[in-house]
Amino acid sequence: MGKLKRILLVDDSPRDLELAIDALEAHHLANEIVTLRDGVEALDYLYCRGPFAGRNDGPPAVVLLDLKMPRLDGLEVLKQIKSDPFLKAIPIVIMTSSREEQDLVQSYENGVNAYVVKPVEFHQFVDAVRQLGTFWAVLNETPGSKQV
Amino acid sequence: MSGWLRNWLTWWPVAAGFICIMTGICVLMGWAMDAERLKRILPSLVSMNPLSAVCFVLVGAFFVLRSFQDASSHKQPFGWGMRACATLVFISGAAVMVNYLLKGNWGLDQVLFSNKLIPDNPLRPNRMAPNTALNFVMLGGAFLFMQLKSPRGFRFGEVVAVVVVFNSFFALLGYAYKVQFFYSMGSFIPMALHTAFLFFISGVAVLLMRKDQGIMAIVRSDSTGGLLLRGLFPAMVVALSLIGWLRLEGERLGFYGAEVGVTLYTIANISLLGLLILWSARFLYHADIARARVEAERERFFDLSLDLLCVADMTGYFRRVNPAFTTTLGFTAAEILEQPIVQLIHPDDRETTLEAIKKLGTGDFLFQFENRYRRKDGQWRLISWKAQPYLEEGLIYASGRDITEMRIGEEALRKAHGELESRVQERTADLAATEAKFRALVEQSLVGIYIIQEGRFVYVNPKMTEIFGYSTEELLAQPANDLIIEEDRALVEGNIQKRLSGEVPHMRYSLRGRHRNGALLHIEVFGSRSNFNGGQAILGSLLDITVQKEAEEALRRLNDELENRVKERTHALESANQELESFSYSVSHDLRAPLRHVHGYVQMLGNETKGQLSAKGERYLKTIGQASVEMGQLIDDLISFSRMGRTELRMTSVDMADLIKKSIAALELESKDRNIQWSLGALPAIRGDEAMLRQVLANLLGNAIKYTRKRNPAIIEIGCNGEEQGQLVFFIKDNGAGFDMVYAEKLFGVFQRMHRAEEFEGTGIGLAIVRRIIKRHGGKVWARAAVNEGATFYFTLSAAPMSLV
Repeated sequence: MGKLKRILLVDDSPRDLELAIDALEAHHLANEIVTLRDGVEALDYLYCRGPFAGRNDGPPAVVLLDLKMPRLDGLEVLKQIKSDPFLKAIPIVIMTSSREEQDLVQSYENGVNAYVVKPVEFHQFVDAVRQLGTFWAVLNETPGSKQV
Repeated sequence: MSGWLRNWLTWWPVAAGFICIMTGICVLMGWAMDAERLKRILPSLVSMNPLSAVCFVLVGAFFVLRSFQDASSHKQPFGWGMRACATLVFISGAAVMVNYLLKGNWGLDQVLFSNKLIPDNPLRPNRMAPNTALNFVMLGGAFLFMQLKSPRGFRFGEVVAVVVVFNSFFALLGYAYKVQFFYSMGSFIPMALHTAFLFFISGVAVLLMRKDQGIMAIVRSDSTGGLLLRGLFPAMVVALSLIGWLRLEGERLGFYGAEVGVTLYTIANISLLGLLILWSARFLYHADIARARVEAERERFFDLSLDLLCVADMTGYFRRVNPAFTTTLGFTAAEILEQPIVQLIHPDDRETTLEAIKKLGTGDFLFQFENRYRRKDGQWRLISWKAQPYLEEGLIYASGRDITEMRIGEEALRKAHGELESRVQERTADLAATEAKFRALVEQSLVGIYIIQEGRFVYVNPKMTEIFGYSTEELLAQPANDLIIEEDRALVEGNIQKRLSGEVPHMRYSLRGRHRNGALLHIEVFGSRSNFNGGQAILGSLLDITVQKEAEEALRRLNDELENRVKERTHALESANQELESFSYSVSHDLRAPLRHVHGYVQMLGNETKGQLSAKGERYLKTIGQASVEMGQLIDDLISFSRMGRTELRMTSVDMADLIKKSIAALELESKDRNIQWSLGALPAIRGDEAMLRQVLANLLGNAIKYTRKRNPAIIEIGCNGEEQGQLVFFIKDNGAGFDMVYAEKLFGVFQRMHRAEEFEGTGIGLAIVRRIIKRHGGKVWARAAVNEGATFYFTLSAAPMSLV
């Protein structure tokens, strides 16, 4: 395994992005973190189209996806990824402020790999991110990664 | 007897009359004009005396006048003329007779054409022959006797007529045999040929005059005697006359002598008479056999008859009775015949019976005469008689019928009929009373009652007039359909047909009618097929339900409105709920994000400024962090509280003991460093939403752990207190801080707290959630407590249905 795969972080809130990156960096994760601001950008990235046309660095190790986003929300992105035979192997983690049960149920119905409610307390948040990052990005090898 | 012969014999007297008149006139004209042929027929014969000719005219006149006699009543319009003719003929003949007897020569027969009488015959002057005179006397006498009513006179006349016929036949035969003696009758003056002929036909005519009596009755009858007489007598007369003539002629011509002639004559007579006797004997033999058969047949019927047949005489004895007679009365025939009839008859009936016999004696017919006869065993039999007397035989023929049983039957029938009649009358009276009762019921009925036949009312009660606004007469006069609105007429006709055809016996249905004033009527009818006055009919009752119907309609409209309003309201509520949902979603998502950011950045700030801030600054940062965490807790509780009110309950059977154990286990984090004594009583299963009840228990048990923090040991008791108002009462009791019951009411309000935050942390929403969930389960929740003496929380829930336990 050569270069570490990227972690895709999709959130419309720049503060959440900053907090997340801080949390990830605090644990010295070596993976490159790509931040995207909404669902459309996320799909463009995954399909290597639009601004990401010609990208050839393969699929990310994991996608951390916020639910509530402009244009295309996280649930839509999740449905699209999990219904695409080439993308569905990518682990998707929903990270959201919502404690609503319906969000959780729908996410699992659509094949989410993990669902994390962002805690208010920062160190809890940092703990959660760190665990996710290490689990998905470092330890896990997706079936897709072997093809690249 | 054949018809032509009957006619011939009927017309004989009139024809003879005309022949006599014509011949008499011819002879008189012959005398007047000296026409010899008219007077004597042949020159060698004697001529007819003018007086004889006159007498024959009178004889002919008698017969012609008699023909005017009315056939049915025997009335003779010319009786006087007939009597005059007969008398004149008799007197003329008698006068001549007397003249001869006294040997006088009065010349009565010589008055007419006297000058021509002497030269007429060179030997003797022309006179009326004595036998001619006798014949006239007899003929006139016969006429007079025949006119008499009595049978004896008739018989005498008949005998005289026969003598006349024989006398004239004698003369005719004499002429035939050329024997003067016969036609001169011992006198020198012979009877003229035509005189003899006229006497012959006149004599026969007299016999035929009264054709239904005497000899002619036998001749004309269909009896064997009549047949023999008609056949044998003429044959014998003609044949014997012929034989005599042949014998005479044979002798005269010298074929044989007198002795041989007599022998031949005798043999011929014997042969002829023998043949005739043989023929008649054979005829009589067959006739007798036939009659015997008929009589036997009659006898059989006589014996067979079920009716009593008898012959009685006028002296009051039975002569003959049939077997039915003897079996009916039980006597033998001999016993019946030997005693007078009256002895057999009931004493009370004897008088009427004697009267009836007397009536029969006058020739009257008897019919349906009834009397009682004594049976040998003393019983009385009632006999109805029909009887016919035959006076000439002196006998009464009677047929009787035993009507005893019939009369008894009739009596019984009459009695039964009478009884039936009185019972019918009683029943009729009963019926009339019942009818009056039911009529009153029908007439006073609060529902309309009617009978429909062939599309028209044949009866309506007063209520009907009230319902429809027409008088009884108007209702009966119009077709029943006119009372129904047009849209419902087909329905009603169909329903009537269904019942008349027998498809259903009765029906109940609603229809709409029209009041006289045009108002719409809602009517409910119940009608059944029935019979009325011998025809099919619908008998029914109807109820005016217009008011109810309108009320129903109003109610329905109101309900519809209400329904619509409920729908609108529900819709509004649903959209409000929807809004609330998205609101709380936003709250949950959007309020927590900034709080997290606050907390996160405070933390990062702390990391960045580690060691650079004063102790005071450090504390500020820490407080900001704590505040944001508390805010987050509040928001979570609020959202949870609001969700409890909205989420649908998923009711199942819940095992409370199990649920409590799980809830205690879930609180391990809070209780792990504590000394808590748990006490669980028997906990029955209940019906409820398990997830929500878990929330209830988490809050209540959490409270119990939290408020017993200062106790060692903490004692928490959980149990079920039985039932209250059909619900199970659960309790959770602790020995914690308790509270003042003054504030018990505030306990379950949102954000209501009993303790200061420094003492016991909390948002004040937990018990509000508990109450909301329990209320939604249909239960209630309350608490008992005292400060520092612990608290007990009670809640009620419905028990699980037995089948689900």
